[in-house]
Amino acid sequence: MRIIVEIPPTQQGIRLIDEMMKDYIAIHSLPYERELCFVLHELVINAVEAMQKVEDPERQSIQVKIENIHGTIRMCVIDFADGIPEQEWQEVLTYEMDAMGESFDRGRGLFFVQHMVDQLWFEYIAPHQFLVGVTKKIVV
Amino acid sequence: MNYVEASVAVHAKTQYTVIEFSGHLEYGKIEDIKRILQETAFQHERNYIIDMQKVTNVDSTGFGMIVNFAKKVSMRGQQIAIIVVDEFVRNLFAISQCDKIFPLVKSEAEGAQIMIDGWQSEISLSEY
Repeated sequence: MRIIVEIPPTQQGIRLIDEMMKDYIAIHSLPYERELCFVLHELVINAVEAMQKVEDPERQSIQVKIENIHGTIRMCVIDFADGIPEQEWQEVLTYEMDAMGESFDRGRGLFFVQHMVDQLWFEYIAPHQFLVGVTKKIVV
Repeated sequence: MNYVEASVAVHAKTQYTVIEFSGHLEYGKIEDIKRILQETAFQHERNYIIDMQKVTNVDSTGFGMIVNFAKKVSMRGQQIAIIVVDEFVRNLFAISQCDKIFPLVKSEAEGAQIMIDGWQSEISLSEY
């Protein structure tokens, strides 16, 4: 089963995805409810945060795709901001308490995400189109 | 659709102050709370117990706020203990190894005991 949703990069969009994911997990009786909800929420808030810098009204959306492929959940979030520079990909996956300050509470979600999933990857799909994807096996 | 707010209450006790969080500590919901924390940390030279018993959900933003406050308190030489009863939240502390820096307890009584006995962290803030 596949779900593809396009949401505005707003608090309402985050709430919609949070509720949708909870319902999806409940309907299909999937395990790892807290982890899957947390992971998708983190990917979406990162995308919303990135989209704050985008002024182009034509790009004001975030795409979320959720699939269950033979017992593996695959979730992808695509935003239309400038993405994470490749040289920073490793840095965003680390947790440094020294980085704490006014902006400490941002950008650390991916560190937690990588501990809750089997795979995490970044992909530039096109200029101003950045994908963050994860997979997690839910059926042994 | 359920929308759960986040809130904070500050309870000054004799030996320490309890910072009690409730609701969903998440992105977009905690700006006012951060302001209150900033005022609390700098106005009162006290030990603190962070109470997360009524926190029903937390994301990296909320978690960062908690740890940021705990760090500021610790760096000022004040003691801190964090009440965490939710296993998922406890796991966030474990993943980040913050459970080696700040004492996690299961009740205010346990936290109060740490204020009396002290607590040795496995990793100091400077080593982290």
